[in-house]
Amino acid sequence: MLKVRTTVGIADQTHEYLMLRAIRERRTIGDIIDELALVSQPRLSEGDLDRQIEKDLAYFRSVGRKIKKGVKNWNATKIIREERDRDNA
Amino acid sequence: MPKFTIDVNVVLAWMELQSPELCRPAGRFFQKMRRGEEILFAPEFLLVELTNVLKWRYKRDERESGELIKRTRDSGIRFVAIGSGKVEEINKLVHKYGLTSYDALYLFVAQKMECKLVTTDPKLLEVKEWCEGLGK
Repeated sequence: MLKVRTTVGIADQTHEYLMLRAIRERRTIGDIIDELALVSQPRLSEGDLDRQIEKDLAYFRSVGRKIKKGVKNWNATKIIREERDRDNA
Repeated sequence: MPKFTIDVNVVLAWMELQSPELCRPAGRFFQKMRRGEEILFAPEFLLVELTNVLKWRYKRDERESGELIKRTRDSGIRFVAIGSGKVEEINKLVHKYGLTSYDALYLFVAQKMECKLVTTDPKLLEVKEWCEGLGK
């Protein structure tokens, strides 16, 4: 693929995000941008995308089901509030 | 494109650890984000908070927690790093709204990204100008 060298102005937080992700994944910032723009990756068909989304959500739900079986107080709103308030009594 | 900052309790709703009327809209946020129809932001702290509750409240082992944290990190949420240079602004939010510093991190990201913070948390929802309830 032809690569174009260019200079762009982006938000400092976008730059930080791209830089951290590039370091973590040992890739270049350009590769990350390509991926985000879906330039270097073939676009999933609508059906494939829907299936992938459902598969990913199913994973989250499967962990949630296991949690509900083993933990009595699982309500996320309540426990997150308790955790954030824990040191503030 | 619509954009929102999300609280960790929205991610936990993807796991259906909320009431069904909250889980459905949380799932829609996930779908729209993945379809490129909405942008979701969160502080990097969300991943730390998730790690903590998975171990200490939800009793998950290292392997399972690790996989779920990785999937959340790679889900498409745009995580925002908050450096030490922002601590004065966090402090200001803590005092202005009577929040914990943890809450303030989410509010800070919403303000910086100029979007609403979506949460199920009653304390944060008191900050009406910046927060909206899941399913609203």
